[in-house]
Amino acid sequence: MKKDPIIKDKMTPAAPTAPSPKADAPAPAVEELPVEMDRLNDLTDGNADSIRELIDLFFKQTTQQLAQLEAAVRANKADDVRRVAHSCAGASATLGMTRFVPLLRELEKQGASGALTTAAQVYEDAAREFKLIQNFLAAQLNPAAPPPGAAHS
Amino acid sequence: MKKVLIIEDDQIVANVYRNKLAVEGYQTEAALDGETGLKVMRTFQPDAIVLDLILPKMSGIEVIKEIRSEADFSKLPIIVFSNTYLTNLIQDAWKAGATKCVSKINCPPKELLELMRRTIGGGAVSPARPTTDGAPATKPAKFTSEADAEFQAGLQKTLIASLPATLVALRAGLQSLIKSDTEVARLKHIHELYRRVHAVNGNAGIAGLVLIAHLAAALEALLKELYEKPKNINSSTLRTIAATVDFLGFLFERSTRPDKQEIPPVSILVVDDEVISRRAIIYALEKAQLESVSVEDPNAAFKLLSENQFDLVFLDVDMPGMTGYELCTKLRNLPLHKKTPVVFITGLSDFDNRTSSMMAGGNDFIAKPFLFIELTVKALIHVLRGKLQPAK
Repeated sequence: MKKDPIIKDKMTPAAPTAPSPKADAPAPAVEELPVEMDRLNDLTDGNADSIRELIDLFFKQTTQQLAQLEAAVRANKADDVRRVAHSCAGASATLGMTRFVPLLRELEKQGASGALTTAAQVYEDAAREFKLIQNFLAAQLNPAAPPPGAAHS
Repeated sequence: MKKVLIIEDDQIVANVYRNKLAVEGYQTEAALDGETGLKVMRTFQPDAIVLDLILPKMSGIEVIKEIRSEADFSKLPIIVFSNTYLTNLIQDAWKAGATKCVSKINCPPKELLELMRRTIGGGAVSPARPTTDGAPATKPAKFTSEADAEFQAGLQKTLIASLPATLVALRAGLQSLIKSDTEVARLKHIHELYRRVHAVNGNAGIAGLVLIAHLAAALEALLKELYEKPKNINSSTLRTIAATVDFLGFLFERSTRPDKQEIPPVSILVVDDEVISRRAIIYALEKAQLESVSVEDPNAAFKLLSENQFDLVFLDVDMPGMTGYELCTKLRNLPLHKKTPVVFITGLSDFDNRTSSMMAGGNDFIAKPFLFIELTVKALIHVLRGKLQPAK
């Protein structure tokens, strides 16, 4: 099977990217963004429709997982906390949710240790961060629309 | 006579293309960087430009934008050479105004000639026979497909002769990278290695050594990503670079053998209970046109493995019902999969603890969250090794 060397035109509506600082500009004290848009763009070849589909999937899945986490923390079910936090962290890391992942890893760690000492507070922080992610992505993708999945929260 | 300007920083590649177009009746000029290319364009007034996207001083994208901003050249055909693994760069090239994007992996001079004929016409019957060393063509000769094959064989011979020295340079670059103890030094060595690998990709592509060109292109994309996002330089990515240089050495040694110069059809199994991670793995495999089957349930995966041959298996470690390690231990008892490469996908914190992976019979591992191109590179190495050097 001989491959045609011409790369087919895959022009699609371009997805927006977060602005990056100029290399020669002084380094400002920039707060870390909740989402690495580069990873999302990479994963979808910059196709805006694919990004929307992926984000919608992430929002639905994470909304369910956060509900499961809240219930597991309240019921002090450490292994459930570990399992759900692990899965949620994997997906979030894959999509570049940089500030969300450490909170989930902390929940996973506490779940694995069997001692949910600060899990309730960490869960609250994670839920708050998830809202920020929703708002950030909604603003990136469609400034006029409400955040996708916001109805679930 | 139609005029073509080639903007390409690799002098060998530029000369080979230039020579081929010249003997086919095109008037050609070459420039080794973008700034020079723009100056030459204004005086030479070409009918088409052949442009490498990876250039020193001024990037290929900037060159396209500059060309399109000048009224005289706003419609000028620009044929861009790129690396198929750099998908975002290709998107940028389209957006900037490229006319055609061509993969460097598989574009020997004959292909470029055909593309040029289709794009701007011209290219009369050749008045001269091409040479492979970049020297001007002078001897008139009847041009036939045999002559083309001879030309291509000459190119291959020249490249193959240079591969041992190329491998020494790649290994030296890798050693410098591994030993570097500051981020500045690390980035410098990543960039040097990236430039070398870029040259390997271009040279192997024109010589028709497609497997080498493929792997070099994927490694080039990985190195570019690490250079632009140094926080991703870690024990996993460094290990992947080392394995790729090592495997390029293996391909170099085999370059005189009559291996089929194409990625063979393969079947890959992906097992991960989480849908977004599965999707990311499949996407990374598709970058190299590697087909895969994915399942979320390890028990369903075991059933599939019992009934089907796979060339490579990616396993998540932490899955409900059966861990990746347990599944690997079980699949090693299947006659079909005693030697099938298994790659674990595991958290970076567990990355240095390799005991469980090896005890379970795994061959390799990659840290989560992985760079998509890193997974692509790993998959290419395992499937090509399996096809070229089947396990005994």
